[in-house]
Amino acid sequence: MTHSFPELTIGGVLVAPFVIYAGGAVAIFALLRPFFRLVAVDRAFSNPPIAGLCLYVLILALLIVLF
Amino acid sequence: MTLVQGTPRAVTVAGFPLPAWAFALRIWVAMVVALYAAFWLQLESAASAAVTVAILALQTRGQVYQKAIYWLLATISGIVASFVIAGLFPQDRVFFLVGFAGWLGVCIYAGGLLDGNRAFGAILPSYTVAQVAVAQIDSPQGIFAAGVNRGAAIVVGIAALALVTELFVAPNLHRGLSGKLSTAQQRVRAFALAILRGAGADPIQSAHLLREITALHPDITALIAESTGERARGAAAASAAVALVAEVGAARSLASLPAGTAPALRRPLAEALAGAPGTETHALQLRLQQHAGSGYGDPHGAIFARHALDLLLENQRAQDAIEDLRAGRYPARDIHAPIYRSHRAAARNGLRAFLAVLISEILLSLAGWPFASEGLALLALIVALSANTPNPRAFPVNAAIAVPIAALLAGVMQFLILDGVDQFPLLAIGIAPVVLVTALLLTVPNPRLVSISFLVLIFFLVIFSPTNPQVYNPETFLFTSCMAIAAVILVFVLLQAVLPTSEALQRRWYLTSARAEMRDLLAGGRSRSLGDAALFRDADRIGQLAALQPAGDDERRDDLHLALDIFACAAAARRARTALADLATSTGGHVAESGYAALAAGDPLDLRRAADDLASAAARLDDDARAAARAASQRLIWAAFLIDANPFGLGRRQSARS
Repeated sequence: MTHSFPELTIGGVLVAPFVIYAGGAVAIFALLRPFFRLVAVDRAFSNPPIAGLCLYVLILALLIVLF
Repeated sequence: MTLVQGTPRAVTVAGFPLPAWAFALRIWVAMVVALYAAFWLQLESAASAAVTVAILALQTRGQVYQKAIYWLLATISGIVASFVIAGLFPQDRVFFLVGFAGWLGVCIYAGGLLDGNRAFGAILPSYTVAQVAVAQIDSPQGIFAAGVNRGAAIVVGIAALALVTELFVAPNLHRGLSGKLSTAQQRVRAFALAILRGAGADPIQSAHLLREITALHPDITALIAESTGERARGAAAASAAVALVAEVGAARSLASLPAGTAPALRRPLAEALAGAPGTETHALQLRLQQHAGSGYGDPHGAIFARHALDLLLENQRAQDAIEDLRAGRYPARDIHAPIYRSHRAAARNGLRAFLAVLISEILLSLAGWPFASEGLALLALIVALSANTPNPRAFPVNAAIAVPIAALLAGVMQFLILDGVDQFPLLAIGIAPVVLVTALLLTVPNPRLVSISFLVLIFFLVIFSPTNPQVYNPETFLFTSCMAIAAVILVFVLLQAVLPTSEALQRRWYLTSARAEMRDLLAGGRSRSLGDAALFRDADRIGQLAALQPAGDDERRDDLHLALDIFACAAAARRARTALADLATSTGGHVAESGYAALAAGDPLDLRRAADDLASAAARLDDDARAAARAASQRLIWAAFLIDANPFGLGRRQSARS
């Protein structure tokens, strides 16, 4: 089965599907941030930024697989 | 740009510490990743991705992210401006070029009102217009494609750098910043201790202390970009910086009082400042409060006690805020640290850039050289970068040294080292020496060397312009290099010749604005901020004044002395207004009226009379109101004392009244 990707056209300009996924992942990540701050995720990792990056990649991959 | 503090300095390789090597490697890896991704995506302006990495080459995560955000916003607004300018003047090159020069002037004006990476973000849209619209002046139909390509390349560059910064664990900004704030606090404390031992407050030393503190402002604003929870750290750092400025002010106030004032208080105060246990500090605070509240027989002693109390409180606040910064907690007091920016200086710089670019456009069109539009784009880059530099006067000289070196390196790279190869690994290895050496030099403490290396790195990539497949055309290289060198010479000459802003003029502007604001504050004409945030803004103005090149030592000392006196007087006026407002709240207003009137008149005699009235009125008031009346009375006496010592041009009004 072929995976179909969503298409977004702004003023006649076709935007790559990846950009939509990447933007969506940023939005979800931004929504999750207050929650992480609340449960102090920073203290669970020796390098919180890398943990954040991994989480972003996971969300992105999940979006690509699901939609 | 100095090395991040708190890192081990013992191990060095080729004279550079390991963190410097880690930084250089990060930049090189990010550049290679950015170029690879841009080639793989078949972007036309792949070199822009590498240039983006070079421009964002900063050592800490917070600084990189903040600059990246502004760089992205600058690019988007620059691309939109390109469409607008090209759309407004579709068939008219003359107006198009005037429009471009005007846009550049506006960007530089906006940048002049900000500092650090925010100023950079305001200035860079002009460079984007040069790259997108001016470079396509002969084929305006290609502006849209050029804009999208450039935007995409910049996003790729930022993404590559962000990835590498995260994976290679770049140092956090807050560690270095807390170290710098601690050092500043130690220096302020040493300054205060020297004053308590009887030394005078040297204006140059005081101004340099204020400059050291206010120079941390760009780092404080960059903290927020670092990661989750950094908003608390940003607030803590701002609170610490404001407290340190207030501490310097309090220490200087102690120095202004006669040398023999309150000898019994000096020693315990010095011990408390030097770090005696907290209980003793608390006891001393109570003693100072009592002394300040009951000192009608000895007004100087009471004022001393009040300033000593301020000094202790601010020292404690700074200490707490630095600890909050380390722990990532919100500080007890969330305060804004605004900077001072002169609209007049910014407007003059904007006009200067407009004229410089306009004259260059005329010269380049008259010369009729090939690649003239590219020359103009390079010129815009140099003018834009020159506006966002700590020392704008030295910048054209540094650029005149850096651009020929960059052209030479690009030529050697293209025609001697690579010489026709088209494999990516060879390109990556080929650019490594230049990128590593320039990035290493970005970490040295010498600002001139840093500025030159930064320009060499950027112009090396601009002139070399890596593409896929690489173009080995000696003619293109020759014209681009010649245009870059011609552009830098033009900028050098024009920035010296068109509307030069002398240091003496700037000094006069700073002092005039400080004086005008102080008069306004005394008169209460406009509702100026009365908190310590305004104190930080005044300190930033003194920091900028101290950063100007020294004229003569005496002249400089006099200017700084005057600026610091105005700073103290403005602070006194603010405190007096706050104390009068407190009094008005607790008594209903009528008692404080004579104090407000005396402040508005700016006359020491009136101020002393109003202070006496308040002191006699205090006896008829309840406990809270009495304390407020005494505080207001002492603040008015202090303001009168400062105006007596230096009338700041208020004397005219005094003589007219007498």
